[in-house]
Amino acid sequence: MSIATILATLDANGDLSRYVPRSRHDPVRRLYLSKEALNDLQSPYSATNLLNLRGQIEAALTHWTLNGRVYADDEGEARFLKRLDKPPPEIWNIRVTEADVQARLFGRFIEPDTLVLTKFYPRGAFSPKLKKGKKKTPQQKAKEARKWRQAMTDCEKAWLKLFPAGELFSGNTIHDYVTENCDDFPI
Amino acid sequence: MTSQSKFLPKFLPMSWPDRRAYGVARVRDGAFSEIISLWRKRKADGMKQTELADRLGRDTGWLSKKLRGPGNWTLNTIGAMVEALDGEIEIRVYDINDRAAPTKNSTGYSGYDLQIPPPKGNTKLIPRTVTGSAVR
Repeated sequence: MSIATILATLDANGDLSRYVPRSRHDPVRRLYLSKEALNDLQSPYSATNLLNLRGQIEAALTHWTLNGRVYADDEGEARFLKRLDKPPPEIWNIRVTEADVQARLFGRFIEPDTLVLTKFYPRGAFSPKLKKGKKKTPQQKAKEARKWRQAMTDCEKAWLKLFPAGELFSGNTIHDYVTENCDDFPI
Repeated sequence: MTSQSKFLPKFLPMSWPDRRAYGVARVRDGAFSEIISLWRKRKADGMKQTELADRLGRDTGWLSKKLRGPGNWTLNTIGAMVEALDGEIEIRVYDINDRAAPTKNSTGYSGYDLQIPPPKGNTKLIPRTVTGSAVR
């Protein structure tokens, strides 16, 4: 079964929701939200909505689907979209919005230019808010690392529920994943 | 209560506060993308961050953070950046219902709809548009 058919079937079943941007332009890249991610986006009780982040998150989703630039900074560091260090492998997050990240959208690529997002995390979900001039203690750093690892594991679990046959895209460079309008940066 | 009932119907419309935030973010993202393109061009021609920072009346640390992403950009940032890069800004606003001319022969989701089998005797497949994911 083709990836297109799998995605269409999951969309029809309600397990995924295709994101169509609020725009006069047609979407170029593809984006699907799991039930959990959709809930994070629009439930008034989700952590992201309690922090009034829906508008900014939708702007990032629109940016992706309308072929917006996937940008890096002047040092060549990924900013808008970043692959996280494994394990588990191939977990990506969209950062809303650099330079002060307000939300992180976790997901994976099922094929080039096609992201499936599984969960949205608001600012503060991983790192504690520090007072000015304060640095993280080793305990805080360890706790933060555990939270990141758990979030990545949760993404993998959600993925395997959606795609039990193991469909997952893996490439060598960022341009394998994002084929147009993408800065060059290491992944 | 079933496990499915905790999930809302697909894509509820944004509230007006969310739409206002969306509008601000879209303007900012658009400006950032265009200005970064011009900055890359100037950089390729030999401009350094220190020179751009001087033109902006700012330090390179401030500039470096600005160039990382549009999160903290204001109208002041946009206007100052355009001038410092010897650029010119043009702004156009459209009716969202006036569809833009397609840039490609198909949209990103072409081919991603379920095909239902044709009635007996008809060999042509009928594409079925998935409901619940319409443009909001």
